[in-house]
Amino acid sequence: MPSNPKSAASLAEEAKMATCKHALDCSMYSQFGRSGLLDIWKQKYCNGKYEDCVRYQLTLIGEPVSPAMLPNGKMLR
Amino acid sequence: MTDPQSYWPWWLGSLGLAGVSIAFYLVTGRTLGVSGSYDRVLRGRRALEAADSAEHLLADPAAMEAALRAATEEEFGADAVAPQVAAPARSISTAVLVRKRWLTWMQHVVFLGGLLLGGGVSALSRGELGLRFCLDAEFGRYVGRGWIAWGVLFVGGMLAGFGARLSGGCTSGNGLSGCGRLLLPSLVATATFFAVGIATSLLIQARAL
Amino acid sequence: MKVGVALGVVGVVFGVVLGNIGFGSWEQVHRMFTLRDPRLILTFAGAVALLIPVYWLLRRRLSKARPRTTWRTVIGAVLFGVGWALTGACPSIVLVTLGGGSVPAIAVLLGVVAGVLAYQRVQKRWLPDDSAACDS
Repeated sequence: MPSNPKSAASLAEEAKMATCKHALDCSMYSQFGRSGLLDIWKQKYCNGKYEDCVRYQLTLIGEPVSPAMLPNGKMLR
Repeated sequence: MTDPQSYWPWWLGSLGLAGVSIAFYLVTGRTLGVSGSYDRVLRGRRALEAADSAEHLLADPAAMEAALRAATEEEFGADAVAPQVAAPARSISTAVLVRKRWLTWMQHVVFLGGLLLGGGVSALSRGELGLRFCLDAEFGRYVGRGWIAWGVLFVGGMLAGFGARLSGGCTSGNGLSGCGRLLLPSLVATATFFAVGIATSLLIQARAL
Repeated sequence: MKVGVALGVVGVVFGVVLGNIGFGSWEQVHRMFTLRDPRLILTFAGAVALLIPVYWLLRRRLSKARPRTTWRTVIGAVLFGVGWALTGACPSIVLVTLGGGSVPAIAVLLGVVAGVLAYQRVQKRWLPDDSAACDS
């Protein structure tokens, strides 16, 4: 596990390559950068089947998306 | 007809609009835009409530990490979290990609209300504050008074509202902010709506003569 | 609370600026669109010119997403342009005009609201939009 902290610039570079085109602006994707533990979310959704992500689905139809909403539709805490 | 001398010189307006854009960014972390606020306000308070409740999480990184860990366990099972418990996952980044503030429903309302109030203050400062029932002498010549005029205004408003949302912004969002950021769709949208506005107006003028 | 107050102040100043440069007047806007008076276009162009270096300096802090230009961009702008020319208003300006006491601005505002609501329905049912950045 890399221990050197990533900068916002390198996070942005990663986000640009994500399969989901909204990753750059997604507050949840941003949170997933906090810890290697959270990579599993990115594998399943952001770099995987982003169409399954509830945040993505809501954004498509223009609905506001809470910064606390996870890709599975549940709220944090 | 209003004396055009009572209006500001153009460069003062430019400074004002640029200043407002910068102030808006400093307060919200977003670039200036108005049509988006209409959309959020019209969705109703409930639609934005969930975002409000996330405030405390966003403010507290430790709480956020704990919440994320719990959510990861719930979604992917204890196994996904377990190996990390023994050797706790080192935080690889506290940098955040997204810096914009989540605006509450009320904050959107206050912003739009501010515009309304500002309009009043402006009119007052030019000695023009007061109920006016006709839009303008020239408009009246083109469209007449009565029902047709009101209909044209309503339909025109609808076109502007719908078109702004469809193209992703209005004069402030796409025009000022989008062009200021040199975003291609904003440049295209702005050039288009100016060109169409000019064409439409010249057409109206020609028909009226 | 503080953000709310600050936003309110920004809104008021924005309204004052728009009103005082003449964007709130149908006649002034019409003069701009019929190319008789360059004042408003200069105001707009000047503001953009000032903002270009500012946003360039801020570029690391702003969204890095690059939305695509699509048919929506163009068609939406066409509709917007017609509406603006007819009414002299856009979503921001109609509030400024209304605040000054214009009763016809009510009709325009109702139209803008109807237009925004109509688009909400259209986007949901027929036109899910993948081109815009994920905003929220």
